[in-house]
Amino acid sequence: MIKKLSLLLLILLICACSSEPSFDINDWSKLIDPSFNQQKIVSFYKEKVSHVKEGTPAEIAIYAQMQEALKQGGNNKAINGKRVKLSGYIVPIDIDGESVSTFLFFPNQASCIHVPASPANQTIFVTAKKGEGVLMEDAYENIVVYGIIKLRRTEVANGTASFVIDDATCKAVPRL
Amino acid sequence: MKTLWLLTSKSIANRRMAFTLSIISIAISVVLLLGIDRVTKAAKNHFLNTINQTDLIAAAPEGSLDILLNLVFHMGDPLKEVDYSSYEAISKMDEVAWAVPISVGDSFKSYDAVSTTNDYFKYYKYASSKSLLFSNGADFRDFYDVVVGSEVAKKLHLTLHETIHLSHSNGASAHAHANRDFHICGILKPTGTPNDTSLFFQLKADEAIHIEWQSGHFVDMHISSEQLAKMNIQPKHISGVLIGLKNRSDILNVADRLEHFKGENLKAVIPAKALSKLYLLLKNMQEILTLISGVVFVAAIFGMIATMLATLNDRRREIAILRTLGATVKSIFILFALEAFIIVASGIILGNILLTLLLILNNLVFNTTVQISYFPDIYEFSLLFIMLISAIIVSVLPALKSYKNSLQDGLMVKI
Amino acid sequence: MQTKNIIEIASCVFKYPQSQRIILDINPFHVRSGGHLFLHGKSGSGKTTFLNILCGIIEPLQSDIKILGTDFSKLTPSQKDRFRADNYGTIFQQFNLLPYLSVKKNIALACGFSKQKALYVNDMEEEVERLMSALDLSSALLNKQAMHLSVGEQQRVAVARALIGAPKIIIADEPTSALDSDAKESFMKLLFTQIEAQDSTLLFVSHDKGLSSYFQTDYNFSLFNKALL
Repeated sequence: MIKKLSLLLLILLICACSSEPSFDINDWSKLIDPSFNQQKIVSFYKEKVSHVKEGTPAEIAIYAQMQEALKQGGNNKAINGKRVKLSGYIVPIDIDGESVSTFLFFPNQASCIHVPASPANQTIFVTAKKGEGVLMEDAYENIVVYGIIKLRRTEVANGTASFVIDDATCKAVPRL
Repeated sequence: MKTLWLLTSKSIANRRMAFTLSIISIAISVVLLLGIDRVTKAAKNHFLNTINQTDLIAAAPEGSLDILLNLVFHMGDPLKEVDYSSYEAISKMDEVAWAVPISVGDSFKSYDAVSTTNDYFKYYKYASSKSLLFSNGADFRDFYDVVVGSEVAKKLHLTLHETIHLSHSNGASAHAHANRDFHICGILKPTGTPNDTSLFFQLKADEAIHIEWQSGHFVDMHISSEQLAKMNIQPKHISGVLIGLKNRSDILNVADRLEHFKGENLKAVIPAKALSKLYLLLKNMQEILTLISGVVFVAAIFGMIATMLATLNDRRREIAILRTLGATVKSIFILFALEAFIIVASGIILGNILLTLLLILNNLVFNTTVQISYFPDIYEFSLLFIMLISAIIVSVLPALKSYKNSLQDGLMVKI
Repeated sequence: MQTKNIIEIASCVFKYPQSQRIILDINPFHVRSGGHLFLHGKSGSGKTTFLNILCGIIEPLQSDIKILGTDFSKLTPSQKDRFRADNYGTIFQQFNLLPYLSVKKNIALACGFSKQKALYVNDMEEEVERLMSALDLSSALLNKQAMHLSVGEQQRVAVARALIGAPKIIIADEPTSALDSDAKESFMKLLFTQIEAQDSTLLFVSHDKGLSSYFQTDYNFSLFNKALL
């Protein structure tokens, strides 16, 4: 009798868990290219600078390039097309009715308050499925986003690819 | 049951003096509870539906809510000004798809006068990406052209090609630019946004007519309007810039660059982000006010129960007679429940009528584009339902007391 | 049928829950169907309490009472309420009527609480008018509010209410005590005419011994109640 009950309980538990869409990635660190190495970039540009005269506009330009590389680089191309479930915080961009339909998504709250925000490899541009956006009253809460992550090239000159999720499903983490 | 309804309604009518005050206090709590819900709902709706598809707003360094409220909702004190050259630099940025300069500060009668370019009508969107459409006429062609919002045209009975004069600044101390004739070139269709209560004219005309106003005083330079138009005066200052980006995921980067602008100190606001802040403020305020109204309702219900208990002695004979005729304990409780129901239902009906009248009055007296509903929605109906149920539940108190009395009294009340 | 006992009391004992003193301890007695019983006694002898028990409004400490063939003592309070509604008509000394209801509605109220009485009446309006005229009440009073009637008129309306629907038992507790002697006489005449017309059993309680001339049977209540001894 008890065995049958515990089997039933187990089945119910599994069913409850699988009501969540399955995902491959739930960790923000996986968004970073494993070969992305900040030190390497710094030493690369430092080497470049050594060939240029001090105090010239060329030197300033090279440092600017280094900044850009540090900020924009390191997107892990391998995760393109994978299902993700990530927990983080949003900066609203578009409002549809009483929910946020488009937003920028970050691992922590600090990124939402200060400008500049996180590096590109920790930023996702999310468009929610109709009706699955973040409710206005949850805009400051911890949000979990489910969807397929992609790398998309921007139309701007430097042309780096950034992370996007289209047709996402969003849930607010209930506060206890 | 029919008998019980008859007895209750006649009995209440017999004690109507005592219950009138109860009904009024319940009506007041209904006005509060429903009114607060409706007004905050309308405010939230109004704010969320006013601007859409604008990625950034650049203005002088002030609070993001101040910037939003002033530039988009035309509320609050005027902002510090931004150099026109900043607008030019912004529009040249790679990431920027479009940029619209706007200047807020003038007024026309009690409506806001906004100076901008034709790009405003092209790129401004609201609700779910609706554009500003014209019911009559079109956007700016001539120097002194003016576009008016639907409410302005309706309330002031303005038509196309009519001549109007603008004031210097908002408020009662406004002085008309009486020497400059402006002509209406277009009337906008209703939008439900502050655009309905605004009028729009060209930035270059704004700058031009202000050369006669040095430090707030009129200096007659004897220049004709035609001459002024031909003088090609460049705009110098604006209140802010509405910006749309080619790639929306660049928002934060562009905002960062704007705030580290070489030319001037700027602040970049993400409208959706500022609106979510505003929304949270409204929600908190609504919660507090709703709590207070709930307390008012509880007080009103207690007042009703107090009245019921106070008139119990008057009803002792009534109840004794009914018991003699065969009324069961259940019937006694139903009698009191019906009484509570009728009192609260009357209060609810009265409250709804009062609220609707107040809202109609508000619409007539104030200029507003905020639509407040005259009727309750499902949430409000459920509130009213809860009020009725709680009244019926508390009626158990006087019913119990009355039943105990009747056991004591038996066939005859000994007074 | 005529000789059947409508009320049979084998025993009835009552005391208030808080006190130890027994108020009522009734000797066994019975009332025949169609009988007119006059119970007289001083005030405080427990007559009203006795009536309350017979009507089922108060529960006795112990009793063995059969009414209309039913074991009345075993009924639940709500069953007693229904029994009372269907089978009794009552008249008290004063304040019989709901002051804010019309005469017509006051009389019809008895049927509002008893389906049995309601079914007995074919046309409510007609029956009310019939009873009113039988009790010497002008039909102009039909829609008047009860509070506007004289005491004598109110008492007669109370009789009409007690009679409507032809309940088997009429209980009257000091119904004439508030009336002057002329009104008393006409009241008693009218009451008895209707009682006989409907063949109801009457249980009449009063301290006024002078009324006993109207009755076949009269008892001194103090003889009934052992507790008074």
